[in-house]
Amino acid sequence: MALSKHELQESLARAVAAQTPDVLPNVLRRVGAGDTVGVEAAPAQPNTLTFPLDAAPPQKRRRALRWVVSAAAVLVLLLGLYSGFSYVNGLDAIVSFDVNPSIELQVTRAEKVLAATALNAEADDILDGMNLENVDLDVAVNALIGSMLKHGYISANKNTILISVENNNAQKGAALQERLANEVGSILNSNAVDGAVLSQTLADDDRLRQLAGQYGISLGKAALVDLLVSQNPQLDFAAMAALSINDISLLLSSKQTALEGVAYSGQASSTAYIGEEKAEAVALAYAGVVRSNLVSIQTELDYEDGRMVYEVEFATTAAEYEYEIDAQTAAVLKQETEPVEHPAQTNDNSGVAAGPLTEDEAKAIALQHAGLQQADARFVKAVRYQKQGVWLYELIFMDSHSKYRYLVDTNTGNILDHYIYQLGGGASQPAEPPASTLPQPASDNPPAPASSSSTAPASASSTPAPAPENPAATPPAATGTISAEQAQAIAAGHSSVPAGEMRVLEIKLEKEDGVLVYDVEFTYGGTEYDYEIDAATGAILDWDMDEADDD
Amino acid sequence: MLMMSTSQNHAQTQQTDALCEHCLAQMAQGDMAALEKLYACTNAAVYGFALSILRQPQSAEDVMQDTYVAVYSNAASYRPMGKPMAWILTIVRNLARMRLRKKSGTDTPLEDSPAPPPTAGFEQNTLDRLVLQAALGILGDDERQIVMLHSLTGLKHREIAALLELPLGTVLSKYRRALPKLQNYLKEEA
Repeated sequence: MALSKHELQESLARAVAAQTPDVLPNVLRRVGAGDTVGVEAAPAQPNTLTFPLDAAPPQKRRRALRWVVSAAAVLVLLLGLYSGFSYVNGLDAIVSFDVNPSIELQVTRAEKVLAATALNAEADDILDGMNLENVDLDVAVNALIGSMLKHGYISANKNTILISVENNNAQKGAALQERLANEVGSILNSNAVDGAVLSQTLADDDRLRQLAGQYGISLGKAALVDLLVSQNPQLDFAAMAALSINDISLLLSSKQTALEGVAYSGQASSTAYIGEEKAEAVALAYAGVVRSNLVSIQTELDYEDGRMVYEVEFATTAAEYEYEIDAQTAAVLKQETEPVEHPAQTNDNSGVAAGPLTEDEAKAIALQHAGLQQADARFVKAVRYQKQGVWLYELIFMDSHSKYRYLVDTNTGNILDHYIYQLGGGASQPAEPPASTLPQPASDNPPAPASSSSTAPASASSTPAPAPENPAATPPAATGTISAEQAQAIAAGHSSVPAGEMRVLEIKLEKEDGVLVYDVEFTYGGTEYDYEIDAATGAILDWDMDEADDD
Repeated sequence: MLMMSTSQNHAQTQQTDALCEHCLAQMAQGDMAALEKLYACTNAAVYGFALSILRQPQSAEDVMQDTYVAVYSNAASYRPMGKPMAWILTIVRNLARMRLRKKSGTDTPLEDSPAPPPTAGFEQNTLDRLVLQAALGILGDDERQIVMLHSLTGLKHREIAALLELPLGTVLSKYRRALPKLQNYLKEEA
């Protein structure tokens, strides 16, 4: 009878389940009668179990005391596993390797492997039959990478590996990180794989540790996914945690995510996907638009409903298009077209005229508003396009602490919206209310036409932005979306309820049918309002009013 | 019933942990219905782990009963740390080891007790029963407990190591040795 290891364990689990007696009635009876079993938790140490000493005869007291001591030791061990290194003699660093298999090596000061742990099922494959205990770290790394290559987890299509080093001594950790990154790079090269290596040195972090445990990934992968998700809030942590490092790396780079603290060499393979150029060609062909008629085009890799997709957004003078193309099959998954509005005072038959503001002027306005010098900022995006009848510059730039997104009116130089994201795991900073927002198409009031008389750009100081009164009250806007305050303002405008007088029940950002929307619920004068607002465009997708519940 | 073999995913473990944590909070308020819920999703793991330490179905059953009474009466002292299963299994471990001490004065399982009699329901698959008998009969104490925890709970190797008070490396190598041992034994038996 040849059972696989997996079948063996399934069989064992079934056997135990079938044999498990039903003691529930007895338990309930005992509990109901106030029976207790002498297991007490020591209040000072959560979840430490001690056993009562009084029941033990004198000669057994010492033994009972040992229980207390050993229970405390378990706690120390448990805590130690999560918070530090000193509890195990010789443990100096934890090194994890993530491809999709996630493997963690505990390493001594002498760079010998104390233990190798498979953190997911794929890693079980890699470690199967491999005994790495007491093996030199270099040898172990060779064996692991060799096994990943052999099992096809690293290939020309998936060439990216993440190496994370945890060490209490940051300098030592960084040195080990660099050495391992070089070593893995050269192992990949010698196996004719043009590899990409991401590497980082980490300090322990309770929040990340918890996420790592929750999703069965290494602390290192949790940190990388956190970096991606915190800067691109439309992505879901659970979905990203399941992706390979190669896919995560492609998303990081396509979304121009700031890779703070992560060293990078080589380029993640995109050969499994059709590429941005082909995705654009497919979308344009589908829309019947020729490239020469484009006013703008922007393409980004994304992850939607369990697959990698290209989001292609483009505009002609007549319409704005949004396409979602399957990154593997090139199938068109979603397409939306919206005609461009033409305000009455258009002085040009090709559509609304872009304002006179140059890109450099727009950048200067944004930088001045952000309080940054040109030299301190790195621009990752500067595009001019028309949105809801207004020509604007979308500017995204970074300094060492933050990522900034500004929308600047090309006619007036006004900042229409801006958003600052604190990098490095800090809380997002909500955008200050913009001096003027984009006209909302769903509002009862028609959008105010861009001022044609104002040709000179307004100075940034003329767009004062008062600090929010309660920044914690509403979630920050995600890059590329309107803020919660704006969503509330849109709902207020439509319902004619003064924003200051409504009683907000909930403003929440959620995904509906793949579209990020704000759900804004509030009451006013005995009526309950419920708005669904497109978080990208500010359009009101649905609204409802009802008699408010008495409370 | 908690049967999280290695094939089942972490999301399931997570769900069970979340449910257990929720139940513990309610049990702390005296909610007996929550105890029933907790029992329903943990009983096989609790019994299997007790059996792997004690090797005697009757003793395992007694410890199982005491465990749930202990969990209920101590629910208020549980601090939610996302690892309720590890907490419950620590109680199983302690009660089972106490019982071993009481009976034999040592930490070793009850003498060389025979593999459990086939008390299980008549429809129980013969092969499954054979596997359980083999696990209880031929594996060393640590091996048996490690394999049982791995097969029945969503615990990771490092959590198993903490629970059994063994170094992680020992748990990993014993786990890797135990499964081929079982495979070979079953092959020969066949």
